[in-house]
Amino acid sequence: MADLLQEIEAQIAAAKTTAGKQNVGTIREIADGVAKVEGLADAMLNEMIDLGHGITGLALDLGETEVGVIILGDYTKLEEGDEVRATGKLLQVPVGKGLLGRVVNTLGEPLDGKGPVRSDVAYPVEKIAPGIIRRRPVSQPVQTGIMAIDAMIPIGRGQRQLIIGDRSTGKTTIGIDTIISQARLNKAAEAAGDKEYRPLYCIYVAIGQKQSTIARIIATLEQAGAMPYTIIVASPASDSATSQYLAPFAGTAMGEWFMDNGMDALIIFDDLSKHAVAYRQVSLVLKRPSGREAYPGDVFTSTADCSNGRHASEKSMATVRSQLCRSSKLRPATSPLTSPPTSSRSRTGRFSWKPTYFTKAPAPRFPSASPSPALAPRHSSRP
Amino acid sequence: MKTNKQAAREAKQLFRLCVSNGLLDEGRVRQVAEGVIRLQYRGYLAVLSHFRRLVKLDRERHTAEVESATPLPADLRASVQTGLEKLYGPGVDIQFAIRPSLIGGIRVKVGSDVYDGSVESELAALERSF
Repeated sequence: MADLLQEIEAQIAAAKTTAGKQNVGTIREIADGVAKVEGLADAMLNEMIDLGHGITGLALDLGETEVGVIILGDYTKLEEGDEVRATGKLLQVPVGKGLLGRVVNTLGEPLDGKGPVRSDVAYPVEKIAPGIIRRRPVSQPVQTGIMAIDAMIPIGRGQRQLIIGDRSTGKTTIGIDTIISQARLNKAAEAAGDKEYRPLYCIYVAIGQKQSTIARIIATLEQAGAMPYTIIVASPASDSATSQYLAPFAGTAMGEWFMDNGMDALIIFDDLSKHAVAYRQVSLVLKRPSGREAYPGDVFTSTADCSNGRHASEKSMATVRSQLCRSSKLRPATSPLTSPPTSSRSRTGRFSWKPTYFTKAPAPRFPSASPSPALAPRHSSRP
Repeated sequence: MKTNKQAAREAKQLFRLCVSNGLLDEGRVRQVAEGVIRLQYRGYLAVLSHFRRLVKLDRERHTAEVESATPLPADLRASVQTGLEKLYGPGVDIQFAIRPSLIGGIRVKVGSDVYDGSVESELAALERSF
């Protein structure tokens, strides 16, 4: 009883509030999941804005007279003239081992009906990546379980890997197979009591997919017993573009917790094409200048940011859906979505998946001294 | 009336003409508005509506709304006034209002800065923290 009283007193003492300065604004216009807010003079970029009704937004566009706030939540409840407050914090998501085995949305809220997520720590969604000196070389393999890959083009812990291909070519399957294979290895090491083995935890970020597809993936993982080592961040196509845009960053933040605590993590983004589309929608509504095919100029950096080496002991695999090459002769073989910056790829210079959409063109001629089939030419000359 | 970038730019130039020493000059604002209406050049309505918006935002930035649950005594009013003038300069226009829902304390709103020392806000903050 005395403990309880002490705890309550401690809580009351901790809950002291001070009348500090707050930053407020009024919603001038709200449309398409973006609110234009007048006021908010001291808003910071990517600051969380409290829009009332329990909805938060992110200040993405700092204009001269107004701030563009993208809304994370149900924007139908908001009205013109509502007062909004700046919270002074960056967007954060819950991280930690309590997330393993759970299905959460972009903000870390549970979607699987298993109760609230147990987490003590929250990591910011946007963070500066560690520099080169802090990184270790890639030395440990990640077993995908697919012999062709593990034998010929092995993937290592700390590497980025792109999985590219047309629809229904098995891109997601490679990711799921890797998760299941890693779970088996983790279990075997646990059963054998192997202290040297570092388990690899997997984070699967589903961006813009059908909810039935995500449900099927969860069922597959549960059947294979891989869920205790997996976090699923689900942002299906029915979610707002904002949620889909931020989902990879949330997944990365969760992976960074593992990295910061001496554990290894694998994060799979499925897929980044839909992420780029979501970012395009957000950018266009904010009236930012657009480039080719209306994608914003910084779509590459946004793609790279999610999978950038913010994770030194983390590995990321990204799937991208390519488009059939015959639609445009002048387009280079790698469509704009499919070439994230290659500078921080595997340091041994091993080639990642080359696009395989030369199916419509005649078979490319390899130079006679070509050492491996992976060296397919990048550009196909049209017949 | 929808404003395009050209109209916004012109309105901003007109607005800058009306600002002297960092303060908005009411006489000049009237002159500019009357001049534009008299000339009625092409697209003047868009320019005028954006100009009005800039003037409104500037006014909001330099207007302080002081709300309290009960009428404030004169010395408290004077101290609030001097405090605000020190923070925001002499051009700030202070308006006092009564709002019983605050229960106690005062709430000052200047533009987008809010200093909320009212009991109502503290209760709301306590509620949020639990």
